[in-house]
Amino acid sequence: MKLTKLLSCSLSGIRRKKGRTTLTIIGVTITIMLIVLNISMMKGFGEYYTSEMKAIGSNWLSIYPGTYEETPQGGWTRVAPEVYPLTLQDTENVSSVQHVVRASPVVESAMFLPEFNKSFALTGTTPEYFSIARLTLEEGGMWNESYTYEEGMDIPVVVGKDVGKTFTLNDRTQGVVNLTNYNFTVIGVLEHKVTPFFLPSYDKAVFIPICAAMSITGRGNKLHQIVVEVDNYENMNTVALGIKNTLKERHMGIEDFWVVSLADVIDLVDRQMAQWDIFDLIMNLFALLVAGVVILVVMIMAVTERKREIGIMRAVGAKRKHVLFIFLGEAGIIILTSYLIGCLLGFSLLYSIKAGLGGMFAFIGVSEIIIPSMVTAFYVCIPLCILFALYPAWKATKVSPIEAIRYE
Amino acid sequence: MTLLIVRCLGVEKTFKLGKHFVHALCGIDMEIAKGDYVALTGPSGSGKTTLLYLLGGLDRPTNGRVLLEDEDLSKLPEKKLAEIRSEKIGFVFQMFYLIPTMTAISNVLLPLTFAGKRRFKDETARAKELLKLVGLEGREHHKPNELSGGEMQRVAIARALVNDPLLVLCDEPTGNLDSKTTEEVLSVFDSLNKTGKTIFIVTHNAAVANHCKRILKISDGKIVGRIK
Repeated sequence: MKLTKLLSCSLSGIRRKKGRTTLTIIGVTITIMLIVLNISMMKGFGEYYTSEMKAIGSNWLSIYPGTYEETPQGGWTRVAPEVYPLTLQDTENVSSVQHVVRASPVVESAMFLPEFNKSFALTGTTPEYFSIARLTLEEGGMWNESYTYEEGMDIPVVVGKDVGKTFTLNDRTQGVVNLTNYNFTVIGVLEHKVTPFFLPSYDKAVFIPICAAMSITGRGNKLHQIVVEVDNYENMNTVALGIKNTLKERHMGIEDFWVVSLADVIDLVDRQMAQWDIFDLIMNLFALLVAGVVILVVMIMAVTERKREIGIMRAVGAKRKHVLFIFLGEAGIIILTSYLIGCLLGFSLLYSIKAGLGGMFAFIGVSEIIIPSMVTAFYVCIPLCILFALYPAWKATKVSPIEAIRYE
Repeated sequence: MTLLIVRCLGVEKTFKLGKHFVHALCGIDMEIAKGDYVALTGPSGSGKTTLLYLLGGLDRPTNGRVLLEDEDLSKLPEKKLAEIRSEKIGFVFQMFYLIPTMTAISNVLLPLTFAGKRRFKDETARAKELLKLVGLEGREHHKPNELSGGEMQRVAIARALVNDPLLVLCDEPTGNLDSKTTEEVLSVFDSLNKTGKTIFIVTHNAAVANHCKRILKISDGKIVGRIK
C-alpha cells in the first residue's frame, strides 16, 4: 500500500471542505488545549505539593487543646473546649516521651506595625521550633534558651523572608499586640521556606520568645499548640500514644487535647485531592467526548457527501482497507493538526499564566510539567478521536461501488 | 487463433425492488476477444449498464458465469475482485467521475495508488505519457473544474488506461458531450483499439456504435442482435 499516496487522497478530501475542516480543527484544538492545560495544572500542583511535603518533613506531631472529631467530609472539627489548658509543663512532659527528639510550645497572635502600616502573624515559641520546622537563619541570630522577658524590655524578633523585606535586621519599631504598644527589634531573618498551602506561610511570620508572647498576648500559661519532632516516621503512632497517655495522666484522665501528625494532614489533603482528580478526569473525558462526537459527525457527513467518490475509487481498484485508510487518514490529519495547535496554544497560555501571575502558579514547569502533559494528551486524545472516526470510516468501506456511482 | 478474454455464460441478474423482482439480464451469452472493439446498444433499462458492471467485477450475476481470462468473477471474493479491477479493467463513465480536488495527473494516477504491485518504474511519466496520448499535454496540473467536458472525459480515458488494462469498459462515454467532442473522444478510442486495446462500449448512440468492429443489441435483458 502506498501510504503517502493514500494520505494525499485523504488531504484531497480535506481540501474539499476547507471551511468545515477549519471549524472542526478549531473545535478539537480548543478541547485538546483545555485538556493539556488541565493535566498540566493538576500534575504541576501535585508535584509542587509533594515537593513541599518533602521540604517540611513528615515526622512531626502537633498537639492542640480541646476535643476534635473527624467529620464525614474528611476533615476535623473541634467539638469541645479543653478542660485543662496545654502548658509549658505539658511541653516538658511531652519532651520526655520515648522517641521524641524535641518539643516546642506555641502561642499565636497578630501584631500591627504602625510605622509600616502592616499586620503580621505573631508566633511565640522556643528556638527548638526552628529545628522542628527546619527553619534556618539567613542573617542575624536567635534568642537563647535562657531568655526571660520583663515588662518594658525590647522584644527580640526573628522574621520570615517576606517580612524581612519590610522589617529588616536590627530594625527597631513599635508594634501593637493585644491593643498595647511594645518595642520590637529584629535579631534574625529566616531563609525562604516553602510552606504547604494549608499552613500559614513562614515567610510572612514573626517569631518572638515564648515567655514574651505569653506575657503580651495575655494568654498566660495557655498554649495554642505544642509541636513535637519524632526521631523516625515509623515511631509516629507509638509517640502519639505515648503523648496521649502522658497528657491524660496530667489532665486527670481527660483527653481534652488532640494529637495530629503532619502525615494525617497530608493524608487528608491527599484524599481531597484524589476526589478532585476523579472530577478532573471526568471533566477531561467529557471534553474528549465532545471532540470525538465532532469528529464523528464531520466524518459521517464527509462519507455521505463523498459516496460517489468512494464508488469511483472502488471501481478503479480500491480495496476496503484503502477506503478505511483514506477516511481514517483524513480524521487523523484533522486530529493531529488540532493536537499540535492545541499543544502550542496550551503551552503559550501556561507560559503566559506563569509569567503574568507568577506566585501561585510558580509550580508550572515547562519541561517537567507541560511536555509530559502533551505526551499524556497524545496517548489519550488521538486514539480516542481516531476511535470515533472508525465508525464512519468503516461505514465508507461498506458502500457498494455500484450504489455509490449511481448516488446523486 | 482468437484469444477470448471475456465469456458470459447464461448470465442472469435479478434485482429486488421492494416486493418485486426485476430481471435485468436474462441469460446473456457473449464473448469478447483480445483486441475487440465492441458496442452494446439498446434502449434505456435494457440491461446495458448492468452487464457492463458484471463484466467489470463491480457486481455479481444472480445466475451464470462471467469469465475474465478463465477466472470466474461471480465466485471471486471482494478483495480479489478489487485486484482484478485494479489490474485488468479500466472504466470510463458517462459523467467522467473525476475527483474534483485532484489535478488531471493525480486523477490519472489514482488507480496506481490502489495497485498492489508497482507496475511502472516511473508512474508520473506513465501518466504524462497517457495524457499526451489523449491530447492533454500541458494540462496535467489543471483541476477538473478548469477543463471542458471533452477534456475531462479524456482524463477519464487516461485514468482507465494507466494500469494498462486487459479490457476498457465504457459506459455511455460520449453521452455528456457535444458532437464535435464526441468525435474527438471516439477517435481516441479508435486509435487505442488500433494499438490492440480491447474496448467495450455501452451506448444508445448509433454513431458511436458504428465506430466499433462489432455491435451487440440488447433488449429486455437479452442479446437480440449481433451486427458486423
